[in-house]
Amino acid sequence: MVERSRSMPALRKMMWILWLPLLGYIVQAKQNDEFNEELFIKPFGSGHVMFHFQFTTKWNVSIADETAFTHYRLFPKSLGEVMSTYGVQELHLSQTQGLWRYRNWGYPPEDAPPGAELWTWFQSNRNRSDQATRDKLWSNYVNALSGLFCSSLNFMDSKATVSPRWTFRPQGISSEYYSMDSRNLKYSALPREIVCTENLTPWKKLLPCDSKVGLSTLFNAIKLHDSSYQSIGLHVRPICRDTACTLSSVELKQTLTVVFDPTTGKLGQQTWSLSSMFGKPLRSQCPLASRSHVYVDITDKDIPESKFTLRQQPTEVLPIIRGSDRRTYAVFDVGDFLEQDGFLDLMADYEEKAAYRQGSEPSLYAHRFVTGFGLERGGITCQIYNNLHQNLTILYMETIPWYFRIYYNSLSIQNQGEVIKPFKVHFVPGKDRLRPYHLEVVFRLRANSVTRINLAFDRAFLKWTEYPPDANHGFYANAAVITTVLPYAHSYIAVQQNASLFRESFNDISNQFFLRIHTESLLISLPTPDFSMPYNVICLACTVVAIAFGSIHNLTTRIFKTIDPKKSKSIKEKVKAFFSRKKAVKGEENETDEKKSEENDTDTKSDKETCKTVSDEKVS
Amino acid sequence: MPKDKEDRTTQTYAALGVGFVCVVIGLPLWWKTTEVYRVSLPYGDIADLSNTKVKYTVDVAIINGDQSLSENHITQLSRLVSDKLETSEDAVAPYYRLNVRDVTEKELAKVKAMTSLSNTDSQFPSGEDDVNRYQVVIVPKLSPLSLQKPYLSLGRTVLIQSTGSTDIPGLADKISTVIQKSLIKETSLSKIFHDGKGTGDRTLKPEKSSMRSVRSNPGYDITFTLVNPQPDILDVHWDIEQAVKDYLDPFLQQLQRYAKINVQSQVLYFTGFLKRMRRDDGKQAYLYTDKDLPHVINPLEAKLGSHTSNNPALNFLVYVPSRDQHPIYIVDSKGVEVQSNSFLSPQWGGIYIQNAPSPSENDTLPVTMELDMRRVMEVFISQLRLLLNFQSQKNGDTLVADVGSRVISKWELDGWLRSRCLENLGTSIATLQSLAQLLGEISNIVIQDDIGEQVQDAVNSIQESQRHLVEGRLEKAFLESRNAIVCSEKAFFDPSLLELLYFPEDQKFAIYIPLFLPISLPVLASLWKAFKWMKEERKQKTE
Repeated sequence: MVERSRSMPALRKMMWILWLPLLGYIVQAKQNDEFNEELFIKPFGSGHVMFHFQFTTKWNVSIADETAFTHYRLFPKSLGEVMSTYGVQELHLSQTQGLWRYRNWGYPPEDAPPGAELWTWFQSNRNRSDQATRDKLWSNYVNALSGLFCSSLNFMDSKATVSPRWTFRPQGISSEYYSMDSRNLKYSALPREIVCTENLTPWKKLLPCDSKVGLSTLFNAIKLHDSSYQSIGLHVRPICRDTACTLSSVELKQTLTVVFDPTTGKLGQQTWSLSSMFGKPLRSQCPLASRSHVYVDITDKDIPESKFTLRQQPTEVLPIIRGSDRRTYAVFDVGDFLEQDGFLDLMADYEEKAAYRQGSEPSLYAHRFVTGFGLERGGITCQIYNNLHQNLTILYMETIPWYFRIYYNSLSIQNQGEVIKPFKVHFVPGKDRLRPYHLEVVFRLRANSVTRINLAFDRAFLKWTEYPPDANHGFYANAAVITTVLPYAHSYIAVQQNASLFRESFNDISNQFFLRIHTESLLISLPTPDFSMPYNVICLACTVVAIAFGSIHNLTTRIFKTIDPKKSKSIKEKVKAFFSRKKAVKGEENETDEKKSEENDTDTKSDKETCKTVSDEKVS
Repeated sequence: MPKDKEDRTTQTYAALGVGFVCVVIGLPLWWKTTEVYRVSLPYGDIADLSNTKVKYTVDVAIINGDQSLSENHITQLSRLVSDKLETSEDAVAPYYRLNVRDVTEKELAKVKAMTSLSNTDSQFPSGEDDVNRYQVVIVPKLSPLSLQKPYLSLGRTVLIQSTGSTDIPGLADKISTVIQKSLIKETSLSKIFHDGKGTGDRTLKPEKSSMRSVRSNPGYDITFTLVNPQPDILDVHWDIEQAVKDYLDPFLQQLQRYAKINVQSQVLYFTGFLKRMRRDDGKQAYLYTDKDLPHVINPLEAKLGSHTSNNPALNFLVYVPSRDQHPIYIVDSKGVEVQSNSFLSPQWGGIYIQNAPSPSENDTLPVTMELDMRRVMEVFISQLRLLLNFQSQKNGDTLVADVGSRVISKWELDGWLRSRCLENLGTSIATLQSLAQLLGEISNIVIQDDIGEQVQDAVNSIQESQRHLVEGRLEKAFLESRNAIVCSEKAFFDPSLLELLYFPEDQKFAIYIPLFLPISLPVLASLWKAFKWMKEERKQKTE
């Protein structure tokens, strides 16, 4: 990029500045695809600031139509190829570093567990009725994706993959019948596969403007990885083409969420700006985007402890209604600012030093941890906090690797010492080296209470080749997934289910807010051998066997008799005798007389006999 | 001492017993448990494959339409032509089934009706069943058609003008040359086979056309890419869907029985040529030579690959120059502008540069621009022909029917099938041989049942294909050879072969020695002693 801009002559630079602002409004009526870029900024009371980028490509073709996936324009070809080859109905991939702090930050726009998570609905119409074909397809699919995103998704084999029954419903349009058939769904997560620069580059490549112009120019890998939380996501689903919904389109949503802590670098001030967070201001917008907007949540800007003013005058200030929750967003049209100033360096000035402010807690959040001690048994406990003044029914899902052998009878759900009976339970026991343990439970949380789920497990012994490098690091267990529908939108900022863009969910009067949150993933240690052990064991066992065999063999094949100790020689003498005999043999070798040598032979034989008897005695 | 002796006997028998158990039970048990699973492969057949000569049969009918030639002349012509077309002793050799005959009444009428070259095909049609069957029609000297050179039609007919009865050897020479050099291309076929097999003469340069074209494969992926580095200034549209339907599909339809070709297209923005080009002030343009080609392809390569297909990819790029490097002309080594303004990159694809006028100051940007797809596709299809190894290049000795770039003439398709078939055979034989050699050399490699099956399938297909070639069934031979190459490559690249490959011998012994050494030494020692004792006993008895 740097080289490129250097090579641009001045004339072209002029053209950029002159013409770019006009481009945002080009109506691409002729084309059957559309691209939008949005950035949502939300400062938190804890001194952190969240930047959430969302790039939405809508392509007016049916996802089931294989022939449509041949001629691409804004939709990336490499992804489209994977989707049409494997008959993908919905694809949801997230790669994350860090843990989302629900208590301090509320809910994220796109929830993701630490590491990589992939869930995919496959089309049912393709001929893939039997399990083996489906597994083969999945394995090819994750291999293709790992090539596409440069991450080790190929470890999502049958040992780490489940088909959840209730937790992951299709998010796009689909028939009732289809969405009930969880055989079309595969879910897998790799908590160890945290996001890094090599994942960001291929993800950026899927954007029509790459990271050459537009909001994506802010993706500075060094800055992004110097953050408290970073998550990239990619979601493909079929959506309604229009309100009548007679035709379907494909929606590709690429999201990047990053949470910075500006207070560390600014003497405790929460003051943030695009150039201080990303290293440069926004200088361009993607001409292919029909909309290029930045939204800033300014609801809290007049709270005394965190008073701030935006340096720039927003294009408009919008009141946001989500159920009973009211917020205020400042909207910045990137095009307008580029036209006026040639750049947009959005900045918020804080008057005071950031005071750690614990806002009201979100309605529902959870903590999960490992219990027990030793290397034989253990347990997993999840505490789920319900801060609503009413009961809430939730769906709790666990996928545990096979080497943590879960006991189903140890499942207990307790609320203030009282046992709660789940409404529904779906449990698939794991099989060694074949499939993980999979548990889905539906139960009710009491109002204003903490509910505990407990599970007990045994730690398995692995074969010595199954241990990963650095086996003492421990083994990860996937984050648990909690799914529910909230009645209030308090601290809820995700885009509505039936909307594509942020803007489309600014006026949401419903009272049902779909929520899916992930708990912490767990790091559990297994009994880990010293890896030179196998060889030691072999040597030890072999020595024991050899000694036992040797003594029995000696007993059966040798005679033990007493000899006169006076006749027996000491070792020194024996050695002497041995060498002198050798010399004698050498001297006699030259002689050609056969008889003599024969005699000598018998001589040595008798010599040996005596030696043997001596040794026999020694053994006895 | 009889008691002593009795003891010795028991000892000896005990030692022998232990030795017997070790040898009869221990050794086979050890052998069986540490054995590597290896399916037996047809090593003999594979070795034979390379020794067998590949012979392909071609049917040629020479039809004499010149009535001035007598029966004797025809016999003489027949003898001369078959002498010229004599089978060589090369590993790949053609066998011509010649049939020289006089013209029938019907054909005579047709020959007479031919007034121009364009209606040859309607007069001598060649159907689907006539694969590998050629007609050489001798046109009378005084025909309204005047042919300076032999003429190859769209079908499988060659027209040659008679030189009259005086120069029969000359006519025979002409006929044999046109068959050998233009129709069948014997030397190039042999070269292709040897190149595939890796037995070609390495000192000789490989055939230029075979270096340019992609290797034979059951499928190809064609990707058309429009590169628009400045969508903010020029909004370039291309109706690629219609263009593929109109121009490319007729071409691909002729190949659909032999290769699966996937066609896709994409548009890339904000990417382009990174290299600064030489500006020619006289021409007011930027000039590009083929030396700059790598600099063009490399920055784009990142967005061209596929993650789902293993087929060779052919990329065709349309590049609309950015305003700061505009216009771009491609020049050859002499500095002359190339008329098509396009590059052909061997085994990779083609690049076509579409210069677009800059928008004037009053235009609202971006200015919409439609690409002339006819022009684009013409360039690309002619490049595609070269990349797929369709060699209809005019060689000076013959006139070739003007096929237009969209159609493949039938004799050309035959030739393609023949050369691809031989290439497949050569490659799969070489693959099988190196696999057999590898498996023979490294005894640690596990050979699973399915690899055995693949190898057997490949061998069968090769033999089948060779049989079909001898019998002149070109199409079947090609399909079998395609199967052979698929099976042999699958077997060769099977990951299961690598499973135990890196289990070195020294480590094995490190594990064996702690057990085997302390057990085997006393057993062997006592056995030796026992044998010696028995020998002595026997000696004493005989004494």
